[in-house]
Amino acid sequence: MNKLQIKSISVVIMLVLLSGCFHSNVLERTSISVAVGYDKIGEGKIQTSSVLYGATSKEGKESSQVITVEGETSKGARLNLNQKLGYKVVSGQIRFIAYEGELARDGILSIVDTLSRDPSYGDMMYLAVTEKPIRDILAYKYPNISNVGNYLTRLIAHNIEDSWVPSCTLHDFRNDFYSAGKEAVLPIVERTNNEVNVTALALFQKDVMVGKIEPEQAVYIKLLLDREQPESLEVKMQKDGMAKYVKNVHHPFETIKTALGNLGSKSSIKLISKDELQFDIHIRMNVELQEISEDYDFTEKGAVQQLETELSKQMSIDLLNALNQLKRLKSDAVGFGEVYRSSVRNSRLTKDRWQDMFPKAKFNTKVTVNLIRTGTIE
Amino acid sequence: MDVRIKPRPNKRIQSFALLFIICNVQIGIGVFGFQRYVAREAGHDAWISVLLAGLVCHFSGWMILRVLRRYESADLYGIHQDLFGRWIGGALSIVLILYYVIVTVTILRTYIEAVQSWIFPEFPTWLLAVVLLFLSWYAGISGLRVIAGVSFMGFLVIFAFSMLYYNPIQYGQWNRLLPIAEASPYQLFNGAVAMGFTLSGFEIVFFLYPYLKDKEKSQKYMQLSMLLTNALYLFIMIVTTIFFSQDQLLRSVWSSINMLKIVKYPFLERIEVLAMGVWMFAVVPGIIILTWVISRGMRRLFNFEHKKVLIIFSIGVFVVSLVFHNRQQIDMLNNLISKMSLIISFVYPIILNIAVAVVWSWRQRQANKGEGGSQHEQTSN
Repeated sequence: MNKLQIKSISVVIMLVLLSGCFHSNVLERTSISVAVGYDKIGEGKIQTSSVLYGATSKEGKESSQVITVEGETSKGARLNLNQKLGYKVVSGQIRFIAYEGELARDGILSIVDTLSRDPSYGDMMYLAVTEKPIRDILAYKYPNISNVGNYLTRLIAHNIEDSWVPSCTLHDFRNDFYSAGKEAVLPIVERTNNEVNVTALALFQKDVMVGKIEPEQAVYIKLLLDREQPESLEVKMQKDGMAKYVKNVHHPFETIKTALGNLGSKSSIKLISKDELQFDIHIRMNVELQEISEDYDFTEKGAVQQLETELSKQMSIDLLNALNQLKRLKSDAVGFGEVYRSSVRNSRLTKDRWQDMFPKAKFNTKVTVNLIRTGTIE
Repeated sequence: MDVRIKPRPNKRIQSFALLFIICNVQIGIGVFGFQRYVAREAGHDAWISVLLAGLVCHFSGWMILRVLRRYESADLYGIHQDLFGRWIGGALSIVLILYYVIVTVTILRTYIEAVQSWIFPEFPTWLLAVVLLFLSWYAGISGLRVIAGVSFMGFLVIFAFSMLYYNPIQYGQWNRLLPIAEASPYQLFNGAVAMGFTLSGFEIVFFLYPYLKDKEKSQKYMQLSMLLTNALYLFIMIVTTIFFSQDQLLRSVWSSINMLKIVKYPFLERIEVLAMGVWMFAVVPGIIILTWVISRGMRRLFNFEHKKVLIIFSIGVFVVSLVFHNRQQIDMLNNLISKMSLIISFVYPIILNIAVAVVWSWRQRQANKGEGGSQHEQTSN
């Protein structure tokens, strides 16, 4: 054999021997976890519930299995998990993590950091909070949901995309936690009988949950965060100036309710006075009317303009209320602190300082609604 | 040892290859986590520091080629001997070789550390070290042309993967860059200093220069190569700054890999694992070029046989890299090497320029004084 042959043979041998699987995880021989929930039980003890893929039935329907263990730390609980399972638990497919409210009120940073420290977890899994023990949600036998872990992931994902839930991935949470002028928000998930739903947003101070905000107000926070957009929102207005455009009044009414489809919005937050901490908040929205509670006459002159003005007026009040709710709870979920930090030179802003300053902030809100169309009818 | 070397034409490479080689030596492993070192000094103005360091880098590159042009076809080992004489020059060359040995160990060990942290926690250090060193030995005995080829591969990998950073931009908040230039000049300077080791590596042109076919184009390709490197670093630094919040960045050891964690395709959910593996293509060229530089040096200084040096060197690096067990030690190694690289890549070219100017003008004067000046110069060589 000449030199070249030896060389090429050795290269082939290298390729064959060294490309082998160093550490294989056979799919059938692993317990794949898809969702995890943490409950607080007693002082310093954590109960971990993990939703695993169950065996697929003959009809091809996926099933799930829920295992609950206790431990001093979240990682310790996971080690205990292995004692209850035939196969090793793998965590690369976890998409949903929930914390019980009790735990969230004590602070969840250590658990969040554990997740981030381990490269086998993705950064894009969703975090959520529950008011009742998370075990009740995960271990409940739902007649219509085959794998509650996957279901919850989809629930959160589409609510982020289309509805009022702001993005709540692990990355977002850590990003907010470590920034000086913004606090994290996580959705609150509840079970009512045979359904699970997202009910509100949990507001945080650092890693401690301090309160919640209802969907009607949360939608404004989402509008200000400016990444995904809510698809629609409801506005309830006083009839005042609009009464004259309403035809066929069959019953006395005080308010007009509308449902608007969001065709695209832009928001801007400006710091106009750094000493008085005054912020100008302006949202510009293109909307289409999807529903209106009264028989509103759009053909009449000025009717559309009037509706736009009333909508703008009402929405800027609602926006202000949402922001005041944040101020009351001292949780800057929108990130006014970041605006402050980026517009004031040498502010040396820290999280603690901003927490003291934020309640003193003043907001001037303005919403400009642009009614593009009223659906397919007038 | 001759000061000037004339490699055979079939061993030479085109100046064009500098574009890949220099880029690759510079980028290698440092791009994984340089951001937090700069951000620790300069905060959200880190990108200005990167820009400054990049400019200094261009200047240093220009200085290096200025020295090399004077000698027409010499490498640094020869220049050392010419300027400082056999003993002092030789000692300097040995220091330089030792430096490159440590750099090789650092690159190797840092990459293995990253692989162990991200993909295979139980992966034995020695196995990956053997694989990488086998590659470097193989390329080392095959000569500069193979090295240039491997560098081209690494170059492609680096720039293909930098496209992935489009995704983190979408999650970025641009106001994190504001207010611009909040950091004091001193902080910016410190940030630029922190870029030292990340940017160093371009000085290997000191050893490649005699092997270039078209030397007059070397300046052009070298500056172009450094421009690409600087553009990439600047881009990644800006993306990192807008993507991470300040404290979050300081906490992540491999920020560049962390950013890839959010990239998701339906067929490939965890691209950072792939990136880690493929990045070997970007790390290997760095190791093999340094291996080549070291074995050249041993041959030039002591007339050792190329192949033997390669084997001894590989075993040596292998043993040394096993000494480092944990993150602290590897960090310590990185800190040590970053100070040295500052001196060798950025300060030393200036010193050399001065030395060349002094020695050459002194020789000129000697030549003018005595009538047999040319003979004097001959002996002083």
